[in-house]
Amino acid sequence: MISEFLGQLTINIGGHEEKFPTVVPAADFDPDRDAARIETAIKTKGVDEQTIIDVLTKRPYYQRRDIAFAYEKRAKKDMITALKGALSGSLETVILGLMKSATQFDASEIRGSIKGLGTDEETLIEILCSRSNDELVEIKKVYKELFKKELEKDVAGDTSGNFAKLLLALVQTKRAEPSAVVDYEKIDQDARALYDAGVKIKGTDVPTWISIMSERSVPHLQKVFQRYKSYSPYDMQESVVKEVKGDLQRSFLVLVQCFENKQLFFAKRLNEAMKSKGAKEKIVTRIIVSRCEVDLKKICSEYKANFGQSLQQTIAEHTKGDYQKVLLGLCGAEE
Amino acid sequence: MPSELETAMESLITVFHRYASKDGRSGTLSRRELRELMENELSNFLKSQKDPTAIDKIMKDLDANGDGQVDFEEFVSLVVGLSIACEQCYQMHMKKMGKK
Repeated sequence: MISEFLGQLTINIGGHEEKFPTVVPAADFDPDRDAARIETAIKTKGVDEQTIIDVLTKRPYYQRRDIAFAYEKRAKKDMITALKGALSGSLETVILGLMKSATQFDASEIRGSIKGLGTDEETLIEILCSRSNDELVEIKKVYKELFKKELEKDVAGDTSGNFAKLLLALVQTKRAEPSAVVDYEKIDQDARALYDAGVKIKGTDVPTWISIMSERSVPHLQKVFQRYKSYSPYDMQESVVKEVKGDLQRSFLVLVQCFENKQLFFAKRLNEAMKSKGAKEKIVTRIIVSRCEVDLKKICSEYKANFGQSLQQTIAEHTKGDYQKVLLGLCGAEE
Repeated sequence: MPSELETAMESLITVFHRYASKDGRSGTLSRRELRELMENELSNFLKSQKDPTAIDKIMKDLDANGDGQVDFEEFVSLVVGLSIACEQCYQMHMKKMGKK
């Protein structure tokens, strides 16, 4: 009996998301030495930005924190405040971003996109639709600690209609964990349900799309989108463009692109941001800072494969000064 | 008289050690010993994997501390995972039997 059962199981390994960081722990890490270097750099006439960049871009967040701690002990001042005073412009923005944990950074970016008049939907979509379930759980916690508000309430307050429903479904973090067993029947059911709710009918049953895309595990959805092609003449991304518009379309597209190839999504977004008029620095900064300890290395290889030019080259061509140096410092050398 | 469960536990341990003692360190499974164990003891499972690199993925996954050796604790996690999946099949099987 067991032999039979074993014969029906298919392993679904790869649940652990492998990391491809560009910023890795410094081997012979000495927080006091680094703190001293930064103190000197800040006190130097005209501020020695290069040293600050060299130290902080080559240490992961937890080591930067140790440096800040050592700095406060020796200089009797808060390092972040000192850096704020010494730096300015885009460099300052990046460095301050580096001094936040990934979750704090995401929470602040989200807060920035909803606070005040109007909403920066693009940023909200970029973050909420690309972060994993676990990451969103942490973001909700930190958001509440930092801003004393519930992320769900704030998102609901600033968005409306189906767009709001989708974002809220994601923020509710009901996504299933990847399971060891592949459920072929469910994959087929979901693929058919997505088709029946969209391309097949006039109009779109958005709630069905929302529930499937926000509740199923990522490996499951990857197979669903494959199976989807046997029912629909258009693949999932094409279907999204055909069926819905505006912010809802953008959100579904980001979701699907991230399920299929998250690093390619970020590579394309970086390329778009740098090549567009009024180079959207905020986007470039956010992606590089938030992914440098996660998968920036892979983003670089997807970038090169897709655009024929390395990310580092594009950064060199489209940015300048200290901002360029700090970005290149975080990306590391070309492979 | 050992109970059925005690016997099952004993089998887990003796099977593990039978393969672990084949070469090198005798308390752990080298990659080769693990492959042999799976090919002999879990052949039905291996046959149904469509991915030819499944064994390598499983081995990499089991060797949690990355030292190239799979100890009993790491090995048993595979058995537990498979048992859980089989138990789900067992439940569906029993439901079907009940419906006849």
